[in-house]
Amino acid sequence: MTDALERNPNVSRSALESLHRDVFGWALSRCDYDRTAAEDLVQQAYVELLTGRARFDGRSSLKSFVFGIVQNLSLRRFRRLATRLRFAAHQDSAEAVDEMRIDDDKEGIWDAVRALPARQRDMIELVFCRELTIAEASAIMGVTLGTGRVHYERAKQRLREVLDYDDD
Amino acid sequence: MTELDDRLRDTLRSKDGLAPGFAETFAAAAQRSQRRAPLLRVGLPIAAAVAVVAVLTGRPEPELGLVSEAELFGSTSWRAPSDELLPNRRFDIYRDLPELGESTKLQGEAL
Repeated sequence: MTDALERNPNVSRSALESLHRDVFGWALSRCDYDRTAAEDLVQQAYVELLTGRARFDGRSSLKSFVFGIVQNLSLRRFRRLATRLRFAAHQDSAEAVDEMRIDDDKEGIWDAVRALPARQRDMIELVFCRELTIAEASAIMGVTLGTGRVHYERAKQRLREVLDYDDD
Repeated sequence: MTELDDRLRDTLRSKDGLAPGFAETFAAAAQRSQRRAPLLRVGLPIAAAVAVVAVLTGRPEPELGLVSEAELFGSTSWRAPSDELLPNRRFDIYRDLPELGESTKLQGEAL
């Protein structure tokens, strides 16, 4: 690799660049869509790679590895804040879902996703939005594959009910 | 892939917004990672010096053993108390002491 990181020889700058948009999107959702906090989180993830504190050895995909760093950093840095924010957001969204007119526009789907329990929402995001497998998503979330599958199925089931879809 | 799956993907991606440029983010991260380097350069020698001092001051005491007789007599001298007292106080010292057989019990105002 010509543009490999000095302290992380299995990671190249170009590979990181190709993941950057997805990594930022994932960081954004970790920070309750606070852009400044997400930018800081992505920077910190890159610092971990540049300093070699997080060392990629090729056992997983680079994408799930970097997503894992972002997940761990966000858990460490925003644990208390995220809990409060998610609780508040969950309350608001739950009320919104009760009141909303169930249709198939984006806001309706968005509200339904936001109203899911945190782990189900994360699973849906990782699988559908970030195009990871359930196994990769489970590893990032730190749960077993079986638990990951349960979160995924429950999330899909809940969304089908709320959004009145029965095409699965 | 179902219709719901497609709509989920579209909806979630639409929330990503515009990501900050990779080059700027990476450069900022590189700067942050180098900011820690001087700390390490200063911190490591200090930590090493502290460790050396701790090792040196924490050395065990030399083992205690018996002093040889010759060494003991060579390094000390002994003088009787009277050698010091008699030249200065002469016999005054004995005047303050009761004589043998003398009563020390008070009877009224007198011994």
